[in-house]
Amino acid sequence: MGRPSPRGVLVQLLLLFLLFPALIYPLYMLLVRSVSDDEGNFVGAANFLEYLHSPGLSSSFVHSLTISITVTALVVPAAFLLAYGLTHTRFSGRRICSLLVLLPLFVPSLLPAIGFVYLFGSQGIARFLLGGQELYGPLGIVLGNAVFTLPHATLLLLTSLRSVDSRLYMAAACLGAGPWRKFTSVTLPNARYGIINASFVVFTLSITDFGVPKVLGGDYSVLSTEIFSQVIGQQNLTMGALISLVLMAPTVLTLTLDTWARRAHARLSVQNARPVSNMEQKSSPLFGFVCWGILLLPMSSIAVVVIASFTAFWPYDMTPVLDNYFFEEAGYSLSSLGTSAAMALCAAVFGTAFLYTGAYLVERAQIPAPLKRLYRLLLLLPLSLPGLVLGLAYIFAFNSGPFSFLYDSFAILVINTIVHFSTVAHLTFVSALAKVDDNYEKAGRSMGVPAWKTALRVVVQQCRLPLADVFFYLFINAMTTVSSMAFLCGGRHTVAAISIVNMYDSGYLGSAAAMSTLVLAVTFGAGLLHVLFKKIVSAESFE
Amino acid sequence: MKLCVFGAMLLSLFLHVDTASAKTEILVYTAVEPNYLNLYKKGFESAYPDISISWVRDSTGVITARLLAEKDAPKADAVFGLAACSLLLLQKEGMLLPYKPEGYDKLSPRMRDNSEEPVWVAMNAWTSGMAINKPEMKKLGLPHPKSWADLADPRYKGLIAMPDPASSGTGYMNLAAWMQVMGEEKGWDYADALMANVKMLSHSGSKPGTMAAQGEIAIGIGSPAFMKPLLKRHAPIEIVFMEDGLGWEAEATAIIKTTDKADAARKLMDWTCSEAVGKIAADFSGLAGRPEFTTSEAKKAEELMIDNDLQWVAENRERLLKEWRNRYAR
Repeated sequence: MGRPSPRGVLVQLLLLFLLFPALIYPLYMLLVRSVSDDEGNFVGAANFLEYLHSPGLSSSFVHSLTISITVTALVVPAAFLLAYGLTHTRFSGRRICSLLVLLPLFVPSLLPAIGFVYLFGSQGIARFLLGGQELYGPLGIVLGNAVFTLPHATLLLLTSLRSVDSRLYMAAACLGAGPWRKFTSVTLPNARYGIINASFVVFTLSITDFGVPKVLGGDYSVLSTEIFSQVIGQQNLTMGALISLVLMAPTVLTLTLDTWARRAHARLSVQNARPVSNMEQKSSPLFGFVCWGILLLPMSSIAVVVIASFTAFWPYDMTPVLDNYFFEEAGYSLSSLGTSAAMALCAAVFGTAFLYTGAYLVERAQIPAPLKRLYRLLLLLPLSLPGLVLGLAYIFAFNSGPFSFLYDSFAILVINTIVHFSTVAHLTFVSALAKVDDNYEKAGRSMGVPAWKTALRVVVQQCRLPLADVFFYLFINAMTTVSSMAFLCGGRHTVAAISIVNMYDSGYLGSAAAMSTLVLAVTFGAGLLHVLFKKIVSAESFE
Repeated sequence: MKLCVFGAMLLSLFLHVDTASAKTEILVYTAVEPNYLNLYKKGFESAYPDISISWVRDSTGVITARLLAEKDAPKADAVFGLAACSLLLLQKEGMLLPYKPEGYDKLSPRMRDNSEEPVWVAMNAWTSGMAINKPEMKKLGLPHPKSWADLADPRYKGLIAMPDPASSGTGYMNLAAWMQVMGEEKGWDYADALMANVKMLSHSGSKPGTMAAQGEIAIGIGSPAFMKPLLKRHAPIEIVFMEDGLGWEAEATAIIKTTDKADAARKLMDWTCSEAVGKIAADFSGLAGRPEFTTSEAKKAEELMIDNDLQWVAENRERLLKEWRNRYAR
């Protein structure tokens, strides 16, 4: 370690300075608001006591917990079966299967929810499958959340099952272990952290989601819809702020547990594991059946929306038409898709640049440790901030005061999106940088090349894949997020996901389906570009 | 070089630079249905060519929440087509500028603020009503309900959706109507009976009507003004006005006190009382601010409209909603 680099310190300070209005100040305003009355006087815990004594309000907390625990209990085993099938067995269509798993990542969470209305609503084509149960309410929220959290859990479990060392299976076989014994003493212990991690992620995603309960919740209130109804329905911003804090409690708790589990896991993880190869995967039609069975629900819920977007008036007039794509008839416009795409592009470009610079400085530059710690801590925060909460905090922070010039601007949507998804992006960069040899910098220094030049020329080159990963992660999430935009839109700029909510509410279900299909087309296009880019890069690195 | 051009493009996109024009541009918050916005904008700008309107449009609840959130530093110059009850909330916060516009006297007395220094005038009104899905009712073999009293009949149990008064303006309009017509004690008895039949409450006022149109529910309570477009799209519904009294609400215009473009905003108030607005408004709910434009069909609804004390409705909102939550929150 040499002496601190002044340039690095300066840039890091600049990044921290930018994070102040984007993250710290809004959170501070949210806290202040939750302990103040409508006139802005400090009232301490009075709001919280009122919350506890309002029957409708405290029950939404119990509802949210019940739903999220149920979803976790259903999704994690299903995702485990899928991931196991995809990594340890062979069946026909496995490659297609492993791609289709990801499909729900490319759509707003409320798209499968709208699909469930078409499938299981009062006029639903598969209504008989519910056996007379009511879709609107807990059942609908559980189904909708299950579909949109499934790919997240599956991805985590895929990673963790791929990292199981195949030599352990050989060793177990030599010791005479049967398939069940292999599963319980090799697979499960190795996947344990993946399972814990997936459970936390599914739990957090489903407790904070807003799109699904908005469409399928009926009058079963959960925390996220309760915040919305307090702020929008009753103009009670104070109570909205308070419930936001209540919603943050479980997410902060899961994040803490997750960090703790991650530390415990780090000690156990094996370097240079040899994954299970194609040869060792057993052909298993049974697992094929299970995997396709699990995927049937998400696939049909998305497909039915695409089909319905081309019908005149589901279910009474099934003539195939393009009318739903002419949004002017419904009083909406295609421009919201343009806004979404522009917003997503800006978030991807600026977000990748900002977060990469920050991660690089924290990991590689010679700057004082307290600065690094502060930056790391700040970037861990957004993971426990539900989008709805961050959006509300932005409203408090920007409608007046020193940063009001940002209010109702396009920039605020971009900033909000970057902050909302920053943690995962930051962690991606951190783990990628850990794999880049730091001898590059040493060599650069000894040859007298300025550190920033080495950083740009060599390290960026080495990090092309993670840079692309983060770029497309930000782009696709910015296109599909509903919750973080719910409070920020409605002014001059409306994004596609919010116009879908509005169309759905005002009864233009066909238009909502059409806009959802367009969003899917854009994100799917982005996904293809991502795959193409990866192919090109890996082809180059083999030359 | 290419990268620079791309960067400049992104930056200009990011900053969204607006080009300045010689016209006075007023920022107007509105809850008018999106398909009417352009009609109003074109109409106003052709009547006053030196003023242009820039809209911020959202549902009544969102716009009201926005205005209240901004009360320390309001952005809007005027509000156009927002529920009168919401405007009364803003008035309580001292956010509105009084003005008696030209044509004020031509409005029906129900459709204007009748105080000494009026702060709002309305372009139209919308009322309670219900959308009934014909095929579903036929399947069930039930007659179509005609009144609030019918809706509380146990044979309609589990067939009704209505907007939640706690989160929808239309929903609260209905609750306030029961209380004013029946008195509070009987009003709550009625609410108990009706709620026993209600299958689902919605956050949005238009949702129950659209659910009825799609057959998701048999009877959707809401406002006919929002149900009419569904008929145009061949939804199999009948729209019914309750015989025993309709709650109603006015869509009104007001000036935000802090505006530095008060003259232009006053023109918008004047225009709200004009014939042009009367014609557009008549197409929406049929109940225009200027009575001569009210359609013959809407006259029937007008007779059923209750004596709505908007001041009372606004003042008792918090208290009534608290009681509502205590009784029915699930």
